[in-house]
Amino acid sequence: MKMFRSICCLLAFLMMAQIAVAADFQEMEEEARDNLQMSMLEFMSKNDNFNVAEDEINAARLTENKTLRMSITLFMMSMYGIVVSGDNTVEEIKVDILGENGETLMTKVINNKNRDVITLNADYTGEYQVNITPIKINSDDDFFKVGFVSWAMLYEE
Amino acid sequence: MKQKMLTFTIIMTVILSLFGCTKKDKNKEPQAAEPQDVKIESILPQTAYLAAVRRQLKDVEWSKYIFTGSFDYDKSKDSTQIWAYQMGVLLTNCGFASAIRDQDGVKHLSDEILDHAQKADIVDEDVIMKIMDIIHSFEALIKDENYREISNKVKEIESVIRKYYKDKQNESVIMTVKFSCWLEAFYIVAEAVTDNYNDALLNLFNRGQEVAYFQKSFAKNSKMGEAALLTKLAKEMEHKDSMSEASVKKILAEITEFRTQYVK
Repeated sequence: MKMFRSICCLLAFLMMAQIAVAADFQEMEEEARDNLQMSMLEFMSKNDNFNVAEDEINAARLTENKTLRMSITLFMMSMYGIVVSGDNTVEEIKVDILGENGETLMTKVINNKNRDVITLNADYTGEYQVNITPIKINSDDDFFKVGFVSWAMLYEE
Repeated sequence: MKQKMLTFTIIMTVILSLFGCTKKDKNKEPQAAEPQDVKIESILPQTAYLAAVRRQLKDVEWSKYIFTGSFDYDKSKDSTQIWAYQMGVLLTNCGFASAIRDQDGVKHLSDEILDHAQKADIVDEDVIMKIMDIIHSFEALIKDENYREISNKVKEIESVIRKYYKDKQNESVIMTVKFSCWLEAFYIVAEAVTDNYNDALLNLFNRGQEVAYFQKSFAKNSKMGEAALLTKLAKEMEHKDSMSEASVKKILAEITEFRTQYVK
């Protein structure tokens, strides 16, 4: 009976912990999406020939220095915008753009508060890789620093 | 013994609940990722492709490449896949007609989209009403010559359809519409390049990443021969330096043949 009670307590504790973490993550994801939306609106109000590629804003959970690698085909003679934001714990995000042979075409560190948008004029038609890495996350936990990054592609019409 | 069984059941419940909470939502896009290095592939909307194409093929009379037909879709005879392919054709052409400011094309294709949406197995009237409202807004937008907004509204129709089938957990229809939009844009470009060929335009066929993306998507679920078509396209585009006018013609022929399954 004692064992049964201990297991029940453990179960309740684990479930509460999971609910708390899930709620935290949800809040962080929303923050990242909201920040991205602000960056995007700010950029598009000044550059009205750009359009957003996705209907839904993307977001991913990443630990510090882990990378999201996105492959995408871009077309020659066109400009593209890459908007990246993090939740409020994310301070700096590095964005690398690689060409089809893996060569680095551009590297930029974005301060999450500055709402920078990276623009790229595609030199050739074909595959590009966009790497997004949160390089500085402010967290109470020094061991497990996790944050949400959100990104969107813009294209010139 | 009873207590042991109970303990075992509780432990299993704990394990299952933990896995249950952390497992990926099947409906989510692949972007919703675990905290580690993540690889994703992305496809730009076909308006982006067609905009780039128009920059490279400036003196082309684009209106002649716009689809002007209509579909006799009969839901008692035809499959939802056919409906989805036809919807992709209409959406891409309508978006393209608005990009080239083809008033007649927009009017014809928007009527067709509405008619086609009403023939679908969409049981939620709100969805049809939403599409109807979007289409009805086109008249005022055409008067204002706000073709850019029409283009955005066409994308919105695609989102409405995607959301409906996502809620119905029918990922296959969503992927078919996406693929059909992609293939139709490719068809328009292959036709235009065939008619106005020069070697510099071959870059427009360097779409191996996109082909690979759809190959993965249709690897297990190729209902209408999508996988076979994609293999043929990949083969033609494999060595981009050795591509020629003949390769473009071959690509156009392959897409045309595939397209006859839903465009009579």
